[in-house]
Amino acid sequence: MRPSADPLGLLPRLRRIRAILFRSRAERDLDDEIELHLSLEATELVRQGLDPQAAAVVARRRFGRIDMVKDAVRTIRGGEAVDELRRDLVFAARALRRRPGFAAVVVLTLVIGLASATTIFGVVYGVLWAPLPYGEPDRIVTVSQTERSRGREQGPASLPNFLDWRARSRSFSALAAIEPFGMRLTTPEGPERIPAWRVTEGFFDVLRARPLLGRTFSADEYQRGRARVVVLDYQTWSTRFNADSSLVGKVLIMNDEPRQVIGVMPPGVEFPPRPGVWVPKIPEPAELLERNAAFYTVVGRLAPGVTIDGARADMSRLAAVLGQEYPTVDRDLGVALTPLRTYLVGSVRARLLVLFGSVGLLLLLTGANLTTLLFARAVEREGELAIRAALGAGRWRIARQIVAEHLLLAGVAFALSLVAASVALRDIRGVAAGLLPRAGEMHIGLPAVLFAAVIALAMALAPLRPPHRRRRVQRTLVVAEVALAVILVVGAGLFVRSVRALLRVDPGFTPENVLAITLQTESLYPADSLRAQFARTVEARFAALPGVRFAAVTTALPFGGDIGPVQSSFEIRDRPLGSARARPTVRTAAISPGYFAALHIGLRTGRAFLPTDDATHPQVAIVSAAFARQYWPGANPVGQQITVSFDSGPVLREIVGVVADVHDAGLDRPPTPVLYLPYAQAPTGGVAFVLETGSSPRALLGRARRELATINGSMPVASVTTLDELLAQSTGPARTILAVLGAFAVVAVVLAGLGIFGVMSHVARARTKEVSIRLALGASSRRILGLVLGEAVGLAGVGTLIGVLAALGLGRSIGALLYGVSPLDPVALTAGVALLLAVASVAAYVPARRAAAVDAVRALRQ
Amino acid sequence: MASPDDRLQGTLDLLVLRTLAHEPLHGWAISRRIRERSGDVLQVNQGSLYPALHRLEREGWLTAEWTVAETGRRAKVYRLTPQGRRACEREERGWHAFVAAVSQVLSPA
Repeated sequence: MRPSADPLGLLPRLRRIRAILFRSRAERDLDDEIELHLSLEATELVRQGLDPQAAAVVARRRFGRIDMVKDAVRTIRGGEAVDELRRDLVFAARALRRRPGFAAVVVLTLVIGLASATTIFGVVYGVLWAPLPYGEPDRIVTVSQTERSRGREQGPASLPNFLDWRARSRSFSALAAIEPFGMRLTTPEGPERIPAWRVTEGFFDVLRARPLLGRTFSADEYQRGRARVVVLDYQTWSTRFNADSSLVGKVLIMNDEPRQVIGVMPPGVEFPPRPGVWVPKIPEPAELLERNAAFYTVVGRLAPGVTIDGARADMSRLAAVLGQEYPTVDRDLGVALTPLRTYLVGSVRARLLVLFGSVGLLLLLTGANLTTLLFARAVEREGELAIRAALGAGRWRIARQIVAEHLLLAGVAFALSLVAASVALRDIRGVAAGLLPRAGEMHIGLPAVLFAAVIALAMALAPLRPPHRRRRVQRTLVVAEVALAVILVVGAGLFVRSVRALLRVDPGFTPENVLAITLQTESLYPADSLRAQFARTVEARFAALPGVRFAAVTTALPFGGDIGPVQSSFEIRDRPLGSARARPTVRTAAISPGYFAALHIGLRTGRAFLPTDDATHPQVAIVSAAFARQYWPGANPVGQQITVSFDSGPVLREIVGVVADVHDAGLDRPPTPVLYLPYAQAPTGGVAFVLETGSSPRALLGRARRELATINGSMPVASVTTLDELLAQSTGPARTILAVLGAFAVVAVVLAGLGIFGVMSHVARARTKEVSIRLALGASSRRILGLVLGEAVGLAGVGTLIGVLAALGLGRSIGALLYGVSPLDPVALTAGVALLLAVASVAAYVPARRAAAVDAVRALRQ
Repeated sequence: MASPDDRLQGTLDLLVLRTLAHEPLHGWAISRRIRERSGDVLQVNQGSLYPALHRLEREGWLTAEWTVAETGRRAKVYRLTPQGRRACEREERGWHAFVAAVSQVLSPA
């Protein structure tokens, strides 16, 4: 017996299993070989006088244990396969070491394509496709309130409506509501603000998410008077508490009250996005009556057997019933159901898919380039292969050699690409954290590795056979490369133009050098007058800081960054709007008199707010131009009276001025109507102080904090930002995609250039003889230069034409993602065409020069 | 010095190679030919024969091709390669040297 490298004897068993599952040809051969032996032996025995049955038995016995024989043969054969593979790879490595330039170019080309593709796959997979960390996540839906008359498609629900839904719908096995609410965490370093959500009973049943540590809330923890508890999300636990596993059971001071940490959720459990901490919602009796206070995001798990359409029908029925029962508030309300995944990532889906599509183009380009390179290699070694074939190497053997070489190159590129992609993804995760949902899920996992492996394998095996009509194929490749590159460049051009158009939009205010410091004052200053007083004091102290030109208060910053209530409902005096109780709502900001000056928002007519517009004076309001246009078209609203409900009961106010519009909902949206109230007359709990400075607003932060501490040492700063940053954030997704697409376009141009250079070099070399004859017959080298260059430019021209046509076709599908630019934008098209033709000319110039410089005499002698 | 096991395995190899030196044969025919030529003295253990054939094939001393046997079944017929022929001669010399050495020891002084 030969010594065994498999002491447990597992190998033969595994092989046997494999043989049963995939009986290979080798196995069948071995069976046949043994069968033949047995039958011949038996025949021999019959001839010697045994009866056929006994003969078969004796033949088998003489043979010995068939399975052992087979195993012995398999062991020998297995070793053979491994040996040969190793031999092939070693041979391939040696062959490639002789051509380091070729190997490097192939690997580089592959890495460029593969690393970009894998990176984007990681992004797209993580955001759009990675499984959500919940049980049966496809059964989770968000339920939102809609208002048919105003075309409001989705919005938060009120608590009484939610409770009715939960009690009276039949479609959910669990339904829960969550309410945003800030938490002041007392730490040794001072108060800190963390995002927090109050969740109703059943919230974690809806998600079916298991805690990483500890537990979630028990039923009695949702009852009044029980111990206060909190569950942390992974992010908060790992960053704020350094992933301290002994945290569970400890007590934190939140909003000045002790709260016990009972659990930590695993990474990825992020509902709502970036939750912070969850605490049980214990409704106040008064809240159960506030049917018009819609702050709650509702999420539910569909009951077994219920489809989302079934649930929709059930909920519309219920909405109609509630509309009849509460005609004053619910009359106009509908209900919208959104699958959880759509709720989380629906907004970026289209953009990411465009990105993924462009990866496809890039991969095609990579493939085309690779084919070109490998052709050149195949041609070059035709001689070598012919010699080896003459020496007796079989066709299979030669093919295997080429496969080994390609696999080796692809393997190296695969490994490098994974490294490059994971580095890139780490950076993208950092950048995208606030801009893309589920950014934390973007990493190189098994799906991305498989994706890269499949592509690497396809790239390695696709260009195996050098085709017969080589020259024609090469020209086709040039045309295809140029066409693909044109599509990518034109696409990128369209996005560049979109973003430029977007950035040229005047936001309506001056965001430069404005610092915004957000505070939640409600818990420290429960009374309106105290809050107004506090804000006035802080504003005055901030305004006195050196370098501050204007300081002002607002309850709503442009581009989100919502602080407190941002909507109010209103009625214009003596003018019924729509149905009696379905009052229109409007985005509303309570501001101090200096706000318009700080943000450079122009006054159109009337007056700005004055310090005297406080609680002791008549109630006033200012409207934006869009507001005026919508409700007083062609007329001056100054002097009109409206009843406004903002954070409290309705108040009659007189409009004293009209200001310019602000693109509040984003630069790509038209300005929305805004209503401004004097903060002194509507001092809500959440406020932002905006400080306009001459330069570098962030430098001011330290002094501002110290100033704040002298007024009230326990006042936490909720967030600090600059308006520049808010503006940048609002265009973030578009700019992120643009940056990536732009990078792709550059890569595409480089790849196309390399490809054209490769093919034209080859073509030019193949034409050496022809060129020499022409030279010998008196052609000038200028003419030769023109000949080769002309061919390249001609091919590029055809490619450009095809690319432009394709870009026009594809442009329509990305039209919805463009802003202020047509998919048929002539600038983007012209620029793309010009760029590619220029690149093609440059790439072809060097080979053309070389062709023209041929020494005709020597070339002809050879 | 080769171990007795090696010697025995080498012997089987030699027998197989020598048998195939005359003509290509399939497995069963090889074992019968050895038995016949030894006057039924040498019974090749068939459990070792097939692994040996595959090993020799892997060494490159034998090649094989599939033909149809007289009974109509597929038969794998082994043939000596030039390399195998040289190996056979080498093994044979080794064997004769071995036998000579053993004989010398056994012969009366």
